[in-house]
Amino acid sequence: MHQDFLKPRLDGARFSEHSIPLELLKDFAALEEMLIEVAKWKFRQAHPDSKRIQRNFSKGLELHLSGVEDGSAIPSIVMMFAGLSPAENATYFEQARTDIIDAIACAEQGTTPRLPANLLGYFDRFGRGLREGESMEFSRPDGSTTRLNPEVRKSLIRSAQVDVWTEEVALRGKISEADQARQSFELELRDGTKLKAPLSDQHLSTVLDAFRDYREGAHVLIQGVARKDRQDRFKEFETVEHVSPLDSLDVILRLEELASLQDGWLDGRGLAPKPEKLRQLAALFDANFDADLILPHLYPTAEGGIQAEWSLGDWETTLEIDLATFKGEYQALNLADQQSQEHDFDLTGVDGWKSLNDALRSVGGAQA
Amino acid sequence: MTPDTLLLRQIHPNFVQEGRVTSQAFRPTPKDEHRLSVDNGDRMQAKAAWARFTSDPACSSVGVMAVSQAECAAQNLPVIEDGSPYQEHCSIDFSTFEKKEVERKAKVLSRQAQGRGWLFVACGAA
Repeated sequence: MHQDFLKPRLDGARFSEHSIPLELLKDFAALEEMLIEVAKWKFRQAHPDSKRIQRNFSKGLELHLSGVEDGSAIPSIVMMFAGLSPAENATYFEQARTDIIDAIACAEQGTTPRLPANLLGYFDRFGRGLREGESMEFSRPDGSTTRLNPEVRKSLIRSAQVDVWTEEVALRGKISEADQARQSFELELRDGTKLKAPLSDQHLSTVLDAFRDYREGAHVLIQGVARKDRQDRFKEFETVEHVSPLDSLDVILRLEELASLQDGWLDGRGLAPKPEKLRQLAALFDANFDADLILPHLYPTAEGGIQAEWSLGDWETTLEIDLATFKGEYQALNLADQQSQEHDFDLTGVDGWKSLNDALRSVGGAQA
Repeated sequence: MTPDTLLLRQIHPNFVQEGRVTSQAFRPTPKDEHRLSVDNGDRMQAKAAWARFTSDPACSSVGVMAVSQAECAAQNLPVIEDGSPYQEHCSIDFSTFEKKEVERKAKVLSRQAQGRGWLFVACGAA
């Protein structure tokens, strides 16, 4: 038998098709572990004279995902139990659910959560899969709601007083060291930080290739879970899920490089592009630039913007991007017949990017 | 100056990515008063032009590219032998053209210069 237990509403672009990425199921598995431990804590509070938690405390009780409802995406989590009614201990699970949601609400409101620090430590894994702009919304008994998002999770982890915590990351860098005997390698970030990472068989050849080409500037993208300290600095990789060699024209890598420019970069003149605007442009590019198109060369402009350029046969094509407005001035010139195409694109929305993609395709911008 | 005279242009390191130079290197910036600074290649070697330019600690260059006087003339761009701030200095005058036209001409000059290749590359650069 089962009964409804929890229906958090997931909000964000990844959930807009009323589906949930499989990788987020790890977060719900962590939530189940957290619920059991918080339920045991509630039991101990209710039975202060009991020295031990009864064996098989959670036996017969399991949380299952029974479906995904509409409304961005709402996973329907039910409590499964043997027999016709839930076991006696089920009540502690319900209290645990309330306390966990209360803790999220406290963090969201900037107050101290009441859960003990060791139990708040579970937020290291529960909520880790949420990206910027995503959240899980929980209903509270009084009818209000509260949201767990990356910022709230960070606040909960700070309350947990842990020295090291983890984050799902996608980091670009060079492989400065590879040790096959110890099955590890080091990723060197742009700022010189070196992160040790486990080296598994499935990533071995990619890692060794990038290590060999270190001096030629070979970069890779590592996706996995990284440990951070309380100062929010990366320490090392806990797990590595993907290692991907990067194109030498990788847009995000180049924009990261241009973020280090200072005002006066052009022989005493030249405004530096603002790093937060470059991050915004990188995200827009990542989300909207068609994968089959040839990547541009990217350069700073003297006015603090970015100019993307493509040399496509007889066509010389530029896109000058004003980072204050994300307006792009596009110009393609055919050097053989002097034919010219000029457009202004609004790069804040998908329509502008679609027009850019189409314009590039029309001058031979698609990869063969 | 003859049509074959090469006009030497210093290339800023941030104007090069993976060996490719931006067309911005071949048009004046808004603060250049519509004139692109070059050196007369008949009167100065590329290496010497680079050495003079980078002797000012505020100025950076990874090397020298060039367009010819004839290539400028084909784009209706006058080359002025202004001799200021030093004798070999010249300016390519974009002042009669509006922004989009300037960009078109810069694309043509850039392709021609890159087809010609580097005349001088600083050690360890480009």
